[in-house]
Amino acid sequence: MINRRHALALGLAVPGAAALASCGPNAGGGGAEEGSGSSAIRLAWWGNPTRDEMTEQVVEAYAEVDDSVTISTEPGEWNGYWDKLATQTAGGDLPDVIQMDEKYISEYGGRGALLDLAEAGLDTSDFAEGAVEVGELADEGLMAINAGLNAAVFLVNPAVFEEAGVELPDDTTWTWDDLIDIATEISENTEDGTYGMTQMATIQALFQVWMRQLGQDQYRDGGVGFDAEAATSLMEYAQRIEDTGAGPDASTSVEDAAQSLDQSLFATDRIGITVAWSNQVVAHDAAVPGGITVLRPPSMTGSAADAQLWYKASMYWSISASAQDPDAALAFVDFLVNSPDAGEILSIERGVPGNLTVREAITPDLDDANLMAVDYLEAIEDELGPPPEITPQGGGEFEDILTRAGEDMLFGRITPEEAGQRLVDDLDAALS
Amino acid sequence: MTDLHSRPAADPAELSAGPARTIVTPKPRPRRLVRRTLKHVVMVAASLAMIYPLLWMVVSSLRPNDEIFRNPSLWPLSFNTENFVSGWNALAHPFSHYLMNSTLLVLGCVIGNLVACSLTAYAFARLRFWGRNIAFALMLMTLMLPIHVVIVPQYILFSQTGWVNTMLPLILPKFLATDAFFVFLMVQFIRGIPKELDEAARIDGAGHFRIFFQVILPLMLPALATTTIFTFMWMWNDFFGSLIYLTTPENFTVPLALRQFLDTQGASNWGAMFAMSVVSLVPLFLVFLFGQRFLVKGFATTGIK
Amino acid sequence: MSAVGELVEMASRRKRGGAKEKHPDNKAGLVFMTPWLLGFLGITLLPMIASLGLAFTDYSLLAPPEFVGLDNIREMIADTRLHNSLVVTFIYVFLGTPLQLIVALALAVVLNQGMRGLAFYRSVFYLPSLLGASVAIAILWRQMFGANGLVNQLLGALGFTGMPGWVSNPDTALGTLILLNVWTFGSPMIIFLAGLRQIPQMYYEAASVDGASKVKQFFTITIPLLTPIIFFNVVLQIINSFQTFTQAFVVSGGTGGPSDSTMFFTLYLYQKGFAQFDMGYASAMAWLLLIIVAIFTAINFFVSKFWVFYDD
Repeated sequence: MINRRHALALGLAVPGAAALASCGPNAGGGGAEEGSGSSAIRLAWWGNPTRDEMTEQVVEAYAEVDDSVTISTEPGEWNGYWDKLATQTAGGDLPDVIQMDEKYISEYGGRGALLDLAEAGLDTSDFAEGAVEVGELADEGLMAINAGLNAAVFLVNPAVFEEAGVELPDDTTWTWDDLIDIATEISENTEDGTYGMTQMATIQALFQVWMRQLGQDQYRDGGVGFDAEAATSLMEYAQRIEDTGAGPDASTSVEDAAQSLDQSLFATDRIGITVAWSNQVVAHDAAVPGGITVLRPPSMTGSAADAQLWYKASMYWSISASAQDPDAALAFVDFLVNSPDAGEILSIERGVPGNLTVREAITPDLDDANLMAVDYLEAIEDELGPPPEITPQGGGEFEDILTRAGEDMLFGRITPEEAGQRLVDDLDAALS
Repeated sequence: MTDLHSRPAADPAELSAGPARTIVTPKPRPRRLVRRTLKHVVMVAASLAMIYPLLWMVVSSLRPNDEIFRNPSLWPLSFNTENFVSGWNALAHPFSHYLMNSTLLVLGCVIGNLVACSLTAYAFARLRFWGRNIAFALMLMTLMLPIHVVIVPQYILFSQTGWVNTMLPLILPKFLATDAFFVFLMVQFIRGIPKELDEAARIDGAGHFRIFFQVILPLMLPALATTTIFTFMWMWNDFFGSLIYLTTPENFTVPLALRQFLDTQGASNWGAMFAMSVVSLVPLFLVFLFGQRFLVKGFATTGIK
Repeated sequence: MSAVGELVEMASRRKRGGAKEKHPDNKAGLVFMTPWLLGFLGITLLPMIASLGLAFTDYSLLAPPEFVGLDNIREMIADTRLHNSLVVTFIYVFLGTPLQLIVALALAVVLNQGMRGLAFYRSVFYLPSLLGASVAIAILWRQMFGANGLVNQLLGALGFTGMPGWVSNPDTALGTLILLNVWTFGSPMIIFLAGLRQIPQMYYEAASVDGASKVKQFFTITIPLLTPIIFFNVVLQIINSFQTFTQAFVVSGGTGGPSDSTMFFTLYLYQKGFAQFDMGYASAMAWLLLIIVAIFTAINFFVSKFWVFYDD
């Protein structure tokens, strides 16, 4: 029985799936064959109601550019978006234009699911230096075009500093030790339950900053880019955050990490400093009653020039390799990233535009919170380190690996050395 | 044999009062009163624990966004209906659109399950045919595989039919009795019905269809009501299947729409989400209130004429 | 007792029409089974077989599967996170299921008695189940069992101060999920209630004539006649508990944390299949789960011969 089923499964179902994966019908597109010259594009993204609305507006605006193209919109929410996209890929049913994340470029692009935008002829001449490369896969080409720039940033809740009577640090000279000292001072000078900083050492953005300042990186040549010693040093720093009282204990940290932005300790005036990506500045500013201030991350040497920051794309646009009408999809993506008209609608909600012409066109209209993000990116431009490698296949798991090792250590189940070693081992296993 | 109980059919007011015990040894009155009061005190306390989340949700939906998470208690009340207005209109379509979609989906699924599962259950419970036990075992097996590994091959299957982004992949399987849970449930209920009733009908010359429709179906009303309520509830809350098959906002159901309020990376509109969650609960609750009246109609109240 | 015993015996006596023929209803069976057969062969079977086949492949979802033989099984044997997820799941199944069913049965019996406000209580007890495992419930649960949550406030009032957050502590997080499961006892309760309602009144009347006490009636009539439904609930709740996903997913935000303490088997399976693009491995896991659940279900069915009472 088992043998027969086995044979049946392999003989029938699996090649079936394989065949289907390459020739799906793109059913949701609809209307593609209606009349000549008209085509249909499916556009998928994840986001929030604001982004949904802006994106719908851009789609409407595109009708004025080319009214022969029908664009059907497929908004989603982060978690569900990726489950659906993977299923659709399996069914050969991928949407034509896809909002992409750095973690998934290799997964999709490396398996031939995405179109090489450079080869297809996308104009990237107006993009800032380094803004296009972050979407390139070595063997595949330009898999995704930057939809917005981003950088790691420290956020400060001034109300907490004020309550503690602590001055804001000079972010061009502060060090990681300064950070702990300041945070400890805040924790001591405020009531119980208010802390200087979050347990940020188990957050991926900070992990990457730390490794780069040690002369290593998250990935090197498609493999693990750091050694156990470097990872251990960060884990020890995490332990220090808890032991000095600069940040909350393990249980409170876990609870805080599970909260959404507006429920977090930072947004509710009970934490002074946290780390984020710069496209989250606006949301944090809105969530914190007294508004926020942005700072550069500290450095090991006390010089911002050594902070080793980099421009990350907050998200990208990709085109499916199986798009029915690649030219129409390409024209639409070109509109999204190169047209100031589109830029004015989308603003910097997806991140600061990498296209300098677009950025220039929209900057005058930005409000204070948005300007804060743009100014930060421009301020660090001269201090940037070399761009990091794109997350290789399997690397998407690292966030979980880091969280798990950090939690195990902070709950006292393993030592910082063990945690550091596990980061290397688990990531290595995930990548292979 | 067809007259199962000597008691006349209860009047509607008694429906919720449970099977009356016609002969019970009377107890001394004061003790009974104390016991009864005690019972109610316990029940009210238990009810409070059960209903707290709903109350919190309703209260939160009436609070301004930034107050929701600062206050885990129900007090103070605030009556800010703004969340309802903004939530109703925050997405690509007014919320009524998603409610309509969900209603359509759920109605299709309920009808499908009622028809197909009861037919199948009758066969499993009452008919002796070749391969019955194997079929039953296979059916149970379909319950044991996690949806996450089956849904991809199923999606590939359905994408061949061009039904993606319609409700067909969600509704059609219900008409083909793929919900083994309800088949099994109904089998257990039918097996609880005395077989003498079938025999009596058969002696009267009834075939299987007449036995099914005239004897079994009326007697399994509680099981049908349970199926209706559960199907309604599960499909109303269904997320993963709807997520995979419904791609454009005009086809979104309520759970998909509710997720659109969330932004895992930025600020979510909690007030609106809570408000619309409350709104989406109303049909569910009404169906339950209505359905439970049939739930309690068992042998105790339905007579066999 | 004698009258009850007779009735029960009478009801349990199997009267077969055509005793000589083994399958007298083949034709009617085919007619009634047609929808199910179509569904099973057309919709259910193929994906199941496909998933079995995929268990022996490396399948990323994004590219065609590649046959890898027993690699996935070898990997499962060495995968300590998988072993941990099995432990978590077993604890959940064997603590959560009995607790939930006992509460559900007890309340169904109470609610089945004549009592003022019955419809109200029934609705209220069912409410948590109506809410399902929605995002709103996850948020509430995290709040209630948080460090400054309602539970700790109540404990504080009782003199237990400085308690940690329950959901965010690896030692207690699983417990709060079991509690959440018990709290949504509405579905089995409704099924119990429906079952109670189906018990023919005549049995009670006969017993009362015999002078059997209410307690005795409960154990000699209610429980035996309810056994098919109890059996159903036990079988289905065990099957469902083994596959628990949504509650753990929403409460832990999909991570199974802290420290994998709520990493249920299906949550791990989902992560492998969708987040880590290893659907081959996930399929192998699914079939391992199927084997485990099938064994428990088979045991259930075997044991049922000794305690479940059917009227046919």
